[in-house]
Amino acid sequence: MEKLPQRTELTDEEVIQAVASDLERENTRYYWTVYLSIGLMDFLERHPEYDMKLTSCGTRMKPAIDEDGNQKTEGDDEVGPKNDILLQDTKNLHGILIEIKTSYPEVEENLNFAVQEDIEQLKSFDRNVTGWKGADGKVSEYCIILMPYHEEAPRAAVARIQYYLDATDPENRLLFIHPFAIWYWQQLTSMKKLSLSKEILQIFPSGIGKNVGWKLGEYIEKHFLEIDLESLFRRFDREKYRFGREPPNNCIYTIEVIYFIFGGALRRGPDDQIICTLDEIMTLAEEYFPPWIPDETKTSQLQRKWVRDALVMLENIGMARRQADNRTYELAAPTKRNKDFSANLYWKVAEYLNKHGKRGAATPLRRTEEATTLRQF
Amino acid sequence: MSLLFLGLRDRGKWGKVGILPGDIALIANSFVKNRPQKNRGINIDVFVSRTNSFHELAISKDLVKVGEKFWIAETRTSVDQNAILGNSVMHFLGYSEDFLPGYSRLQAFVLELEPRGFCIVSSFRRAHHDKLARNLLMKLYPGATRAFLTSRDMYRIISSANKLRKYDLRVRTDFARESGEDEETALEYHGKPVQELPTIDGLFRAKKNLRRSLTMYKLIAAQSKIPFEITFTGEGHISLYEGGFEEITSDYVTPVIDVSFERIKRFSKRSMSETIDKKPRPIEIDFESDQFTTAGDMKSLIAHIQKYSHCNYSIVHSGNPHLFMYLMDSKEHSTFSLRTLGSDKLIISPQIKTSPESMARFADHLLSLPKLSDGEIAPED
Repeated sequence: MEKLPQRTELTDEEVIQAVASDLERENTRYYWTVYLSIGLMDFLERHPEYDMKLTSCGTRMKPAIDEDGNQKTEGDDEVGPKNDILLQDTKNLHGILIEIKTSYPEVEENLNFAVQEDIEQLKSFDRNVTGWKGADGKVSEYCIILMPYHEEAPRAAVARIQYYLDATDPENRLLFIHPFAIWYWQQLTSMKKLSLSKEILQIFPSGIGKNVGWKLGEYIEKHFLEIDLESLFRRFDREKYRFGREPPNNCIYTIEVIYFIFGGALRRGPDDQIICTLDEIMTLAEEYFPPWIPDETKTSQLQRKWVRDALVMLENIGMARRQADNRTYELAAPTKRNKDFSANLYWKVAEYLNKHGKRGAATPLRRTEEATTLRQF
Repeated sequence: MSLLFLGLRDRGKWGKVGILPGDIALIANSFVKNRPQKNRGINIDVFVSRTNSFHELAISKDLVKVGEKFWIAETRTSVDQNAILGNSVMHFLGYSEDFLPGYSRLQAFVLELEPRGFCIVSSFRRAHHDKLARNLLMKLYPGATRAFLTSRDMYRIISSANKLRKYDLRVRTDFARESGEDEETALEYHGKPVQELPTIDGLFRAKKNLRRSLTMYKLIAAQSKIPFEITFTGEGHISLYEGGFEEITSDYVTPVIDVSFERIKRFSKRSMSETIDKKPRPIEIDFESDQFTTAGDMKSLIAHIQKYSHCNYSIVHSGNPHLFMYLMDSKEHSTFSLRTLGSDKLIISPQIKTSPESMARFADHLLSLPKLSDGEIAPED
């Protein structure tokens, strides 16, 4: 493919804007992961006959058997895809790896880049999924569920990916080779038109049951996997769960939780600033957000490290300062001028990350280069 | 002797205010009768508080201190046995010349009707009345909140008053706002004789068919020996042009206080720190028709929330097709989340510490968007 001349000059503002957009997408994806983890647990609780449990979120899968079917040696650093959510049966024989996809951006050049990014990721799934090691190190047979949730019909999204592949690499028939399903967001209004009383998410099967001879796979093939969205949303709001896995290391999700969940219960200073220590937040976290598995601190929803990182990030972006005792933090009160706290936060964190090269200008620059190339296609 | 008067007699600070006995009903009715201009209505704004009575709030906020923008200059307690106003206390306001120039001291008062509600009454021009009401609310914040009614609440109150008085109330709908639009809509009823105007039932039926939310009614009695004409809004504002003050108090002001107080009560004991199992008890608001179907609907909802002056928010997920955001009340530091559920429901979920007033105020702000004014708080399941 012939490349167009690359655009290499971006203003600081453009770079920060691009990083901020990335942060926002990452944050939304995390929220959805937590939310869907609860949804899947809800489904599995109601259907004990499937004998499945959620075993991990956000862990890296390792192939235990290579492409030729040979056992891989220990210490081999080849890694498989990172899962968003992983379900396994209790005998560790089968699993479902779920990948959550965010909406495609509206800007054409970013959209093309996002499609390309998806394809790269799908390639990491494009292998025999028999014999991967799960989070517990056990080798299982997996199927993959891709879950895009954008307003386009999901088939259109798949068609877009396929169309791109057909045009660029006709030999590559990436999709539907392996046990593979698409779990998509059915437009709620159209579901209502079908006179369904409940709004549901569906797992749409694509050969999953044919290749995977186990109960849930068969069920999905025949019936779809249905999750009652309304009750799920209600449960999400009534339960105390807010974390399902380690939040993104940009700390934005944790900062939002500190301000908007704990903020009301923390001390206030004369200028409305939040006054708190790490211990105070952790005491509230233990009281109101208990571990997923009772008495197992490892499964605490809000880990001490995440809160510490968030406080340090707030300090780094100038929204917090430590008092003389070095333990007490003063967190800036949100201002009336900037009502949209999240937008302000994305920008400040993006500015910091860009300045300190932690996420640097590389991301947006690469995006622009790729986008320029893709636009030609 | 008024019960409210007994409540304020022992308050030390109240000693600064002249407390005089009076016939509240007589004073209020002559206030209406002797207003400066006949075509200018008497303005009444209704407020509610959950915990403190008006005079307790007034003391805590130093409203008896002369020399501020406005203050309580004189208090009248009732000596009459009037069934409606006999237990009320009337606080006449003084105001600085800079704040409200050109008005005499006896042109505005706060009527303390019962421990949980009061109204501010004035014969000012509407803009000046609004200025006074707004400043009073700010002064008493967060202890008091403006009354708020959905269009269904308004319909119930008007219907009940109409049945009681047999006025055959007619509605001038050029004062009714159409759902989804901020501008007042001049419907075909403008300029017609009173007898040809729609009845309240007829209008409400038409509204249902048209899917319109009416947030302001001008009500005129078609069959009454005593003239009756008021304007009644969903924000608890009444403009009284023709009619008795006691009647307005019993038929409109008191029911508005009751409905609004009930709403605040429904928001109580819902935060995680207040429930036994430490789980939040969310509030669900249902709408008659689909309100959140397109990305544009979400955008207009967020734009409306942005206009709420007492909050900061964080959008976690917007559109596609749901909205989920966290909010923080900047006055009380209460936090809660907002979620659309399907296309015809909103869920407000309190967090660790959330006051009922902050949630109620926010819910009222949400429902003040004309297209959302049909929202009803769902009963607990």
